[in-house]
Amino acid sequence: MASVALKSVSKQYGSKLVVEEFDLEVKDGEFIVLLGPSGCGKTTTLRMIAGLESLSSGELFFGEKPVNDIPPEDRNVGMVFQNYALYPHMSVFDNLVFGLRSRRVPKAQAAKAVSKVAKLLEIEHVLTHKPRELSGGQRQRVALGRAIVREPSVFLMDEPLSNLDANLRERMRIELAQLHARLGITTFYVTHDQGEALTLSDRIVIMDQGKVRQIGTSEEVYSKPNDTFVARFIGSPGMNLWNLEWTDGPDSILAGESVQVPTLLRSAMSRIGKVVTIGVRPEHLFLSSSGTGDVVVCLDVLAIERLGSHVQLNGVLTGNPSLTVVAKLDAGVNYRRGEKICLYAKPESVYLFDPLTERRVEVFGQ
Amino acid sequence: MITGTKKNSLGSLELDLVTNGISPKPKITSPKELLRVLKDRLVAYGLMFPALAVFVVFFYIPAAYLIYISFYHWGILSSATTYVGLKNFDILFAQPLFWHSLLTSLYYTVVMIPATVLLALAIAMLLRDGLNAKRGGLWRGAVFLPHVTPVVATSIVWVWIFNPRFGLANFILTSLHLPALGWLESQQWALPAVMIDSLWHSLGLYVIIFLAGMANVPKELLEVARLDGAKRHRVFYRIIWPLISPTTFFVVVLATVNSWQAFSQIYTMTGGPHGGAGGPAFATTTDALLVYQTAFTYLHFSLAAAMSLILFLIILTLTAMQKWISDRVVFYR
Ligand SMILES: Nc1ncnc2c1ncn2[C@@H]1O[C@H](COP(=O)(O)OP(=O)(O)OP(=O)(O)O)[C@@H](O)[C@H]1O
Ligand SMILES: [Mg+2]
Repeated sequence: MASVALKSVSKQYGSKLVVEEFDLEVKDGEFIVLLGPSGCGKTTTLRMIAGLESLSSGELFFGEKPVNDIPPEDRNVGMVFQNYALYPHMSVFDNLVFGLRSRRVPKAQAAKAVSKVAKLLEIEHVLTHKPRELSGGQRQRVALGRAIVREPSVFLMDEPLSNLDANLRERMRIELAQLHARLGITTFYVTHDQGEALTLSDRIVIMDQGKVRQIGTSEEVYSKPNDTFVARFIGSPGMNLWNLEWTDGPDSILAGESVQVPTLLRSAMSRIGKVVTIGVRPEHLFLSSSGTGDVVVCLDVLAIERLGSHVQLNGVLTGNPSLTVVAKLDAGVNYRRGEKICLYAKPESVYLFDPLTERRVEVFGQ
Repeated sequence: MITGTKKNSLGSLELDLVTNGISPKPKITSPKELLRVLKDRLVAYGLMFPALAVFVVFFYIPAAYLIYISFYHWGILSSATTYVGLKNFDILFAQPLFWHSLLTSLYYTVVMIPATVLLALAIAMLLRDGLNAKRGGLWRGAVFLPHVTPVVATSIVWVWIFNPRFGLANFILTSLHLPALGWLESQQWALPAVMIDSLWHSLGLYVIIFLAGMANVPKELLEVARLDGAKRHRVFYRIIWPLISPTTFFVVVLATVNSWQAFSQIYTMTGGPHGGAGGPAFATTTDALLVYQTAFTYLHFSLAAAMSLILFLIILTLTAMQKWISDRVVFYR
């Protein structure tokens, strides 16, 4: 087991910068999730940690030891690929024992380790099967087992659940969390499913186009997004963001024609400028006001999606048809297309961003 | 309107599939339909005819005729043929030269198969690692080039290379302080010289086949094996070698057939154009060469036919044996 540190790690393919100045210190046993849209460099980062890809610049440490020049076979990392990459010509047992035998673990000891892992992952009854005779979930477990059986110091997983159906994915997600709690191996986990990210992670690294946008716990990235990208990316659906010009009134600020903001946000807004980006999460919009000083958002309803537990309202700001609004409301509301309504949000659930830098500005800070 | 035409075109597509023989007996409901079906069949056979005709005229008929005359006494000048039963075979089996030619062919094949597989695989492995390199294409081209050169022409070059007095082969040997060899003039080294020529000429093809087979091994498997701590040689013999076994089997079969049939390079290198092929002292007289000489030098066509039949049966048996073995060891995904 080991702590891992990436120090301004970059990867370049030709002239294309794929990972840029990645800085991260991971504690021993921590579960790190790399989250980001397709092509943002998650897999590349993982492959650099594994040693399958060289670093263009920067340094990588396992514990105190720099590993830049150590080949993958000597790094003692376990990796689960998206398509599992099981050895198709070997039985499940041979798949599991291959890594141990490669490292010259004696036969009897290796067999014992395999049967222990097989028991842990409940694949004992398929040990003699070939990978093609297994179900998706079983293959996934074998891939997992192959990576953990030789007790790696770092565990890498590249979207390991993406090939499973929704139910199985949910179940495996819980099992992965339990497994990590039990083994405590430092883990890097790539996904673009934020449900997985939020439940599994100790910390989430949110990436976009090779750049790290934010590193933090799921609580932090949800409630304190660094910038508009993170705000829009986290949450389902993501945060409503509106670029609006504001005018100061006696007891409220009118931003655009349809958004009314309490005056206590004035100092923050004037620090930003004439135009601000206002952000409100869909789940923080309500049908009725809880009192004075609420944010008021008026919109034209365009579509209503009934999703069982709640209703999702899609619309545009009244008078600003280019700015969309999404609201997650309690089930049972009844609106029609084209109707104009106003929703309310508590002032503390409002975010302000600088439209130029796209970074968040503390509302109640200095 | 639009959906209507779409439906129509889909309908006729289904009909096409049916009339093209996916369903064994198309339902013919009207004379018009019958005409359509007939026309389709006619087109299909029409398209097949040229290739089929070439095969029948130049392959199946001669092959059948060969079997036929191997049981007859048949001369190219005499019109009369007499049935002689197994007499041609009796004559062959009584001939020491016939047995000698079989042994020579066997020797040639037994050396050529492993040499081909090992060398082609080694070159393919080297090229594979350089595949993404800038000049990967150039190297592959260079390796494949000998295969597209005419055997006869390049074999003459090899005759010069193997010239015992001023050839390149002996020059290299003596520079390495090794004894010079008689090569094509020596009973012991004539066949190995031919083998070197044959390898040079045929390896390119086998290398390309191996490269294609290796391209089918998923990259992640090799990566995961390295992460599993396997060194290069272990990755090769535990992952690559088993996964390319269908390719290897194909190469072995192809090399077997090509070795038993090897003719042009032996004929050319051992002085065929001057009438002395197969020497010195029959050291390079393989089965294929003996067939040729029996037929076209000594004009014993029936004997040559019988010999060809035996050659055919040997290759058939070997291939069947290889198939039987491969079904037990080759890994198919
Ligand atoms: N070998 C390579 N050569 C050139 N460009 C590459 C190479 N590998 C990856 N890239 C590029 O690097 C970028 C990041 O790729 P990467 O696979 O890390 O993305 P990802 O975040 O894992 O995406 P996904 O979620 O789709 O798996 C992509 O734009 C990709 O085109
Ligand atoms: Mg990826």
